[in-house]
Amino acid sequence: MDIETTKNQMAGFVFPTAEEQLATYFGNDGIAGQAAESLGVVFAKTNISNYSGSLDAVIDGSFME
Amino acid sequence: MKSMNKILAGAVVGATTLGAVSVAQAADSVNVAFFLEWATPNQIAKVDKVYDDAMGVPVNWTDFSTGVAMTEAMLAGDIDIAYSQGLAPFVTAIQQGAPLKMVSIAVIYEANDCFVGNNLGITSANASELEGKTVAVPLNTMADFSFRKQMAALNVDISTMSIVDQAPADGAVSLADGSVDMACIFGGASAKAAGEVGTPIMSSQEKSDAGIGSFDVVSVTEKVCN
Repeated sequence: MDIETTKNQMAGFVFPTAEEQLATYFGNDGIAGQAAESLGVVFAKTNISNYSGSLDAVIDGSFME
Repeated sequence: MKSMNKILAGAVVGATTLGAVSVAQAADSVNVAFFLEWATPNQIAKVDKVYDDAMGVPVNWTDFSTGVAMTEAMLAGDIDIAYSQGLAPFVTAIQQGAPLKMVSIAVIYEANDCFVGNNLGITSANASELEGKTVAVPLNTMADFSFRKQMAALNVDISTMSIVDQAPADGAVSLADGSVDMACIFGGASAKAAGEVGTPIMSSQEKSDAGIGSFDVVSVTEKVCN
């Protein structure tokens, strides 16, 4: 991409910090889980082999702590 | 333009996330998927070999055209980490039982645009005229999610539309040659190309008012995490 296209694209980007992500996007009440559910993931399905009743099984913010 | 501090903070988050994943203990190298047309600050760290130093092994970067292709490569064992995979392809992969995890947010952004051919005279005001038309969509991506959300917001019945599964670059070409009436796009160069012959069906403000947004994730294989 040329510089102008790159700058225009990045002008619309938001890069949340690790702290912002842990506070807002992760955990059982986080935006990520809610967004995933709206995209059609039914986390109660048992085809997720290690699903333990928590979104932590597939949405895991522990690497940022 | 976001401040340089925020941009670099994003690069640090990316470096921290990738570095903390305990890949290097058992691997001679790490393979990461990314998009060529997606300008994220972690690419500064990529070029500067920050990840290589953090993990102690060479990090190999491979570009992909869609997040779905990233999933396929992860399932094939060719990719360990997908940077800025769309939430939609990640969710689809999980629904299909793929052993993947989301470990951080890569970037939050305005919902991808769907460009309508300028020759059609269709805007958000008369969007119902899209019914029966042909649209290029990279299926199961955030552009697909954006397409469905925008059509719902505009009360367009997508069951009447012919949907063609095309990666953004191909969708832009199809829009230009008239093969499709609308193309839903992500990626700077492809969006620029589509914008030369089409116009987004919803403005930034309209998408925001309708609550349509997007974010990409950093996903890893469970094998990498274990």
